[in-house]
Amino acid sequence: MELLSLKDMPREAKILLLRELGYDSDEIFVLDKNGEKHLDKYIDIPIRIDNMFIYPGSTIILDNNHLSISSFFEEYGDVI
Amino acid sequence: MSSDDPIESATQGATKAILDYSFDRLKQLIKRFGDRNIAFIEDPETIGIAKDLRNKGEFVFFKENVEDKELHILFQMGLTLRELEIKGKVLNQLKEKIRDKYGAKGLHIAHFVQNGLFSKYLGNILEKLSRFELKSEIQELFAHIENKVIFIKQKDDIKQKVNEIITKINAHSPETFIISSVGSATKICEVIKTKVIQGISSNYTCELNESKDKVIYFLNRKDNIL
Repeated sequence: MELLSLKDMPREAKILLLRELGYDSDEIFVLDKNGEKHLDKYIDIPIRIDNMFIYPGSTIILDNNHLSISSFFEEYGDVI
Repeated sequence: MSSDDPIESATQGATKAILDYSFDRLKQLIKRFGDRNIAFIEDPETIGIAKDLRNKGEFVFFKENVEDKELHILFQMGLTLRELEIKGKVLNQLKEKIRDKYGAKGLHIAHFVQNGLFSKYLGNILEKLSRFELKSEIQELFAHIENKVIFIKQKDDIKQKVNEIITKINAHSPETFIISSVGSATKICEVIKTKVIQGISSNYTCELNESKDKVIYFLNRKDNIL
């Protein structure tokens, strides 16, 4: 699986991407279908659109930090 | 709507070009995402570090001996802190996240691994134990790490730390108790170790493991020494 950096993706494009995936953004945070801030499942913090990790399948969106990423690998295995 | 201002017009054009490009590209990316061929991340280095560390012998060995997934994550966090420290990066944010999620004990475990104490600890016990005993000893260490390992900081009160360590040793009689410090704290660490040795019974011997700016004192219970 290819891993694409979002660093160079314009903010507008990130928001479009999120909308295509069934999420949204207030231009700062990722919002869920109910318009609530979507929380990182491992550390319960709102996810900023300039610091996302998005994994396909059932679409997992996490905050891009070492603890969440290691927790992800521990739960799902070395899938990337 | 187009503008008569050439600069404004050019800016609008450039913006539109970025968005058009992004939209076309996005459609391709979303298709690939749907096919599970691609994942997105702001900074791929985070994934790179995690993958590298999961392949390190230290972690592989730990995983073979400890099944607890929470400890796996804390062990990886220790390795990550070490890696970030080597790269000269700020550690505080990650330490806060570890403490928020796993408490002081979790951070203690991560510090233990970060400072290379796990491999040094293995070196200290490896010759003395069978494979079964080794596994059991490692699990016991991480289950009760607060009673078996202490980090000395420069600002620590010597008398208070000495009392704390002696109390822990007398209460739990660990087979091995570790006193460790880095940098400028190594001097008071030596003082503390000496006072602890004087304060506990003669059931313990002390082995020093010294490297660069780190010292580790292993206080080994005598009945554990072959």
